[in-house]
Amino acid sequence: MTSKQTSWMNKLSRLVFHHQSIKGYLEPVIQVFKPAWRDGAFRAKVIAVSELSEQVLAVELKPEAKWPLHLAGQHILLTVENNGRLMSRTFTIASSSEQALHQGIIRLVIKQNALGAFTPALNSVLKPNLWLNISRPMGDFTFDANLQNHLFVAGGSGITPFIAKLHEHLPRAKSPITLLYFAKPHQHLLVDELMTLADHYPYFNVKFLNRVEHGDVSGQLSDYPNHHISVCGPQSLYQQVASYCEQNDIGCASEHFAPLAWPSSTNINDSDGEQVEVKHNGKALLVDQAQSLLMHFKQKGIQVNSGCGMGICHQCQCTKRRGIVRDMRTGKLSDMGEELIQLCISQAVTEVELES
Amino acid sequence: MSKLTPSQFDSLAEQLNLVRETAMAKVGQKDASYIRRVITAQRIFEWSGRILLVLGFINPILWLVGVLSLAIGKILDNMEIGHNVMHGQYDWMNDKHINSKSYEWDIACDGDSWNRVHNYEHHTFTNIIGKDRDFGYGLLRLSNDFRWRVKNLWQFATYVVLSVLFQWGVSYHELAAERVFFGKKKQNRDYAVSHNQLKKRFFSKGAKQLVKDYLLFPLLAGPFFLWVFFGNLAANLIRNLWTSTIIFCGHFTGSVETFNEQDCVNESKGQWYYRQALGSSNIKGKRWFHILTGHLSFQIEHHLFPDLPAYRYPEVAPHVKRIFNEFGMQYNTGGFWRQYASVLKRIVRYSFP
Ligand code: FES
Repeated sequence: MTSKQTSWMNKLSRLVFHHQSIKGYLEPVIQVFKPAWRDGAFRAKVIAVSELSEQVLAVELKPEAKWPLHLAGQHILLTVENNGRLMSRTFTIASSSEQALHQGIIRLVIKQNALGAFTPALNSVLKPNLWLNISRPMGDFTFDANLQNHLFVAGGSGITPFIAKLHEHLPRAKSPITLLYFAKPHQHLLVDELMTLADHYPYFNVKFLNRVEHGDVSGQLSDYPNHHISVCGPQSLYQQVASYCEQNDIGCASEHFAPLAWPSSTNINDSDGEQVEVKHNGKALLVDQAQSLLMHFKQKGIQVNSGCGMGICHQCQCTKRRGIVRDMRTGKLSDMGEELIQLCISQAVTEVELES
Repeated sequence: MSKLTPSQFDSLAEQLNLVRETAMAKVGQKDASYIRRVITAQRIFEWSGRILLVLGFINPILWLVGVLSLAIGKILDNMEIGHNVMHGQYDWMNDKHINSKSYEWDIACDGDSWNRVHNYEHHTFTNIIGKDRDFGYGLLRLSNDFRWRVKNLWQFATYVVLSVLFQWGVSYHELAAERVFFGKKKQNRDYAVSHNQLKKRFFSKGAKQLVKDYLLFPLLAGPFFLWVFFGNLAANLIRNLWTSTIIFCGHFTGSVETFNEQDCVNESKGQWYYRQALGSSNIKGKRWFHILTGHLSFQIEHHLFPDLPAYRYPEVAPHVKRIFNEFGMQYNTGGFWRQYASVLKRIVRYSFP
């Protein structure tokens, strides 16, 4: 359907069905025939799930035919239904677009975070033949084949875009590609696969590094003058590489994830301790955990809807884009991703981004 | 409201909290699948109904079945789906189409307006005279808390008219209470939403309903314009009578109590539960009946736990009843006709001084 048709249909839908979109109106009906059919998302079927090492899953997915092909280095938003609840996270595709084109398969490599709410659930949720949702491929952390001498710097699970690029471009590479892979000792992912690639393609070179033995990344970089650097990994790694590049006036492609740290047990239990930053419709304020978000907003004179103040009426509801909040009635912590929360019974546990 | 001691109130709250938490812990895939099934059924009833209305020219029986089917579709949409989704019972699903923020229902009333009056005022200040505008809807005198006026003499007729036009009553409710069109504006009211906005939303949602049911669909039916026009009228009427009856049975049976404003100053959670309990009444019935009432036949449980997925009310009801017994509180329930008779009696009784 063209976008004009869609918008016309949605207008009709609002008049006739009171629904923002016609697809939303029909969703539960279509799901009877097509599991996980969802407005605004693509479907994909789980082909295989395997454990690469402890707490690292490799998931093979077969996206539906109309899914637009990705470029190596891009990521998708993965949505699964976990016990009735839709949960979404972003993952980089760890396979080439060639494989997607010829075999119809993409692979995700997922490092499980024992304390998180999403990744540990995947073990029980992801089973072969399950249908789930993926977004169109996103991001521009892709490979420029016209450049010579690539230096890839990966940290931890930041290896995923690089493994996709290697699979995709090594067969045609005309100049060296070097990978510096940092991780905690013995926690490197995809080691065998990388070694096989290195054996097979003379242009490719990989070094498995850790900070304890090999020091910071900055010490390594000077060995590679005239290289085009791309970096993917935790914030700290990215910053070191970025400042090196700045000092030496060289460009640097990057993808860094700054995931919100899962709270330590101390700030979970702390009722009046540290303040955290809350962003509401783009405006930032500091709050503590002594009282509800609604109270904080009221004290700071921020206009929000509210009613009962006791978690009943949902007037104070707003969308949490990310961050963890605590339900003050039960003490339960929320998931990190996007969901609706009630301000009057929620306290911020980590940094939180809200929209109302 | 001093029939229990403060420590009894606390223990009441503790026990009811436990019931809520136990039930909430079970909420999951089953509930998500359930509400999607109901939505699917709703779509089927609604569309079979609309098609059968047109086929009325083959055999009027088809038209009749169509009216019933469409009415059931509308009832499911308003009660089990709309009312409950808008209470936030399914917000945990994180589904962008099944949540209290985005759901709009097939009724003249604007969803946001209903959320304000119903979810906030009615559920927070249940049966507190002067704060819960749902008590008698500002039209009926249902307790001695209100001064008798001559117009109360014919309030039974008012009740019948209200039931027939129930969707419009619900829709006009907030505007009436805010004196948007008529009457003296109340001073010192804290207007969450401007009057213009209320008016705009009232007319736009209301107009959509009229256009859809009495113009668009009849026109689409071409030569069968009238079949569809009257079919929609009949289906809306059935829906209005059904919802109004169920709701009256939930709140205005003879033994439902009222409270005054002082009662709820610094109210504890236990006292709040207590007030919810005595401000509501249940209706006994079969499973299909409960579904068609949106489980408002478990009005007591709904008022105690408004955001627990409603089809779990039957599951928590025995526990609630046991706890009520323990505290010597009345658990007001009965068959449909008994409860309905009690409502009618109450309306008639308070017609007179
Ligand atoms: S103000 Fe009523 S739920 Fe938050």
